Formats: sequence, C-alpha cells, structure tokens
Amino acid sequence: MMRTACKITIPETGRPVSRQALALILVLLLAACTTSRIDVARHVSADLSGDSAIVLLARKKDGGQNTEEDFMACLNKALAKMQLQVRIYPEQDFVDKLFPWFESRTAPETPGELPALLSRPGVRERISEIGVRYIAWVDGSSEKVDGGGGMSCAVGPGGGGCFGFVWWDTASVYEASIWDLQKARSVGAVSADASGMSYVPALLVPVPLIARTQHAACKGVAEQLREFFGEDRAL
Amino acid sequence: MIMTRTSSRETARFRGTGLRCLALCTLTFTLCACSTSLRVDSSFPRPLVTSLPIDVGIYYDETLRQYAFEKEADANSVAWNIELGAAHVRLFNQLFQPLFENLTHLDALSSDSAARPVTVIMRPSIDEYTLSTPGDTATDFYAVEIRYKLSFYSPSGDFIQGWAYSGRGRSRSELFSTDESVQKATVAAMRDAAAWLVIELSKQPDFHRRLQAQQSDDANSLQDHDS
Repeated sequence: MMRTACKITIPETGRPVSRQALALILVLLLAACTTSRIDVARHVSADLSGDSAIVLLARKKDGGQNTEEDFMACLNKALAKMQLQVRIYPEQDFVDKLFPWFESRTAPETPGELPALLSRPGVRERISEIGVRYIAWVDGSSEKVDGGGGMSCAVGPGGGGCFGFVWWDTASVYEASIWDLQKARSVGAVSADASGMSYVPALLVPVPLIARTQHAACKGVAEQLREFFGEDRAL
Repeated sequence: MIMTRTSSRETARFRGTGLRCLALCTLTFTLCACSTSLRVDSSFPRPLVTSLPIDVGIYYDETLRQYAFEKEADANSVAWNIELGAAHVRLFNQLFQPLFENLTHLDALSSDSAARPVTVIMRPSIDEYTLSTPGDTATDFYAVEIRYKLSFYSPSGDFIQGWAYSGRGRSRSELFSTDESVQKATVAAMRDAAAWLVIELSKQPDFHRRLQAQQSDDANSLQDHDS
C-alpha cells in the first residue's frame, strides 16, 4: 500500500519574508513530501475474548534500543486514541513487573522461546495477573541516508543571520511482530517504511521544511495494529 | 557643546558593544568549559524469582558506597562526574532481599566471632565504569559498560571465590539532555548486569554448598602443603 502525504512545519520567525523567499518556500513546500509503504503479514487472527491487554515493547540489543523513544510514544498515543478491543499496557511497568526476564540479554528472541519463559516460576502467573495477552515487539529506526548543501551563519554586535541551503533524505523503517502469550506463538507482523527529503533554506533566518517520515511510519504501524485489534478488524 | 554630545554618544555606543562582546565571550566560555555532574537516581524493580533457602550476609564497603566516575574533558566530551555508589547499594538491596530467605547486612567483613547467622558473605564491588560518547564511537548513542566483581567469603571473613561479570547499556543522544542520556545508559547497564546476576544465582540454588566445599578443599590442600 503506497501513501503520499505533504506535511511541512514552518516555525514562526517574526521577521518579514521577501517575495523571492516566499516563492522559494512555496516551491519547497510542494516538494518536501513523505512517501510511505505499509506491509502486513497476518498469520492467524487475534482472539479478543475477555479483558486482555497488549504491550508494545521496543526490541533491545546490547543494552539499548534502536527504536527512538518518541516513536514508541507516538505509537502508544496513536493506539490509545483508536477504538481497540484490547487495553494498552505501559511498557516500563511490564518490563519492571517481569524483571529480569524482558531485559536486553534475557528477553525471548523468537516465539519458540516463550514456553520455556512461561514455565519459569511466577512468570505465567504475573502475566495473567496484569492481564497482558499480546506483545508487539517493535524494531526499527529513522536514519539520515543522504544529504548535502551548506549554510553559514554569523553573529555580530549588530545582529546575526544565516545564508545557504541544506537538504537531507531520511528513511524510516519499522516493524512490529505480534506474539500471543497465552498460546505462546506469533500471530502476525506489520511493517511500515517512509522516506522523504527535508530542506532548510536560509535567507537571514533558516526555515526548516522537515519531511516527517517517522510520524508517517508511526501512523502506518498504528493503523495496521488497529486492524488486528480494532472493532472493525478484517478477519 | 557639540563635541561633548558626540563623545558621550560614542562612549555609550562603545559601552554597549563592550557589554555585548562580554556577554558573547561569557556564553562561549560557559559552553566550552562546562562539566556535567550526575547522580544516578533511579528505582529498580524487585526480581521475579523464587527465594533461595540460604542465610546470606551482605557487606557494602566504603569504596562501593562512595563510588564515582570522573572523566576529564577531551575533544569528544565535556568533563563528567557521575555518582554511582548510592544507586548500586539500592540496586543490590532490591536484588538480594527477595533472592535469599534470610539476608543480613554486615558492618564489617571480618569478625572475631564466627557465630554469625550466615552461611556465606557476599561483597559486591565495581571494578570499572566506562562511558563512550557519540563522539568516541561515531554513533548516535552514549554507551556504558560496568564491570563488577561479586566476592564470596566464609562467615569469619575468609575469601573463597569471586565472580566477575559486566553489564552494558546504550541510550540515544538527545540534544540538550546529555545527562539524561548518560543516566539512561547507566541504568540500562546496571539492569543488564543485575539480570545476569539474578539468573545465575537462581540457577545455582546450592552455590553456597559448592563454595563451602571449595573452602574445605582449599583448607585441606593448605594443610597438606604445610605438612
């Protein structure tokens, strides 16, 4: 599925902009777009009987996560606004309540490791107690893949300003693997990638025109998760 | 009269320029010469493990309690001063309390009286704390590695064995909140090491018996050597 959305942020500068600069900004406004692609792989449909919750966990490696915290916050916020048939359980609470079994070096990497984990003393009971039925393992990040241009700024006693033009390409690639803890198996995966070019033209004041690829990918993953867990899900 | 007006206007202009330059110099100096002090201030979760039926004594020495990491400013980083001792005492208390049925806090390692109500004494220590900045690693991450040693002693304070282990943590660099990134990477490294330690100790519910056996073997071999 391909989507194209133009979402540009222009901060208030408080300074008058010349006609030429305005024309340049308008041209760039049309050009700084984000293209996103959403993929879904559904293995089995989610069983949403009873009161169950899902926790979104950022996949950790070498003691840290590649996925940005603001992406996780965006995803949690987007899902909270949607009509889901499952509750969203806070990530940090889940990891703390099951410490040390979901830390960087101990978390299960495949659904095949779930039975061993659930057989550990207290683990299944704790998961039942907090009512978490599904885990969505989120992995991915936004990276700058290319860029160019230049800008020089100067500050003096009489004031300051910048002149130049900078651009860069950003690629955001994220995926979420959904596991059913009750049945100890994977139920599906969704992925979204978005790419876009950002510009910062500067005629005295730099005007950042940012392609919000991370936001587009967040919306893409959230939409697909809604299809798994929403009231109007496609079974 | 005219001359006077001109010179006072020039004086005021120079004074204004001077003040601006002074402010700019102060700002530049502050940005270049600053150092960051940080106290690791985090709570740690109680581990989900079965208690081991062992009477354990825990001893935190002053080196651990007061442990701080200090780093001079270099080309890639500002100066750092990170207080780690109190956070580690909190972490070890949180780990060991539910892990052992009876945990006794000891004020000294050696004791004249061997009649301590413990089977084994544990003494955790930090061997090394390493901080890598994004400038060091050419990545977007602050990375922390902490190397620990957990030493085991007999109830009278004789050293039996030491376990070396380590934890690693990373946190993405955030503009204007460097100290928060380092705090997160440090806490991640502490949790990583703690997870390993809790699981290792849980996997060996009879570790104290093996330590006692090792102590007896050591004592016997020492007697043989003396005779």
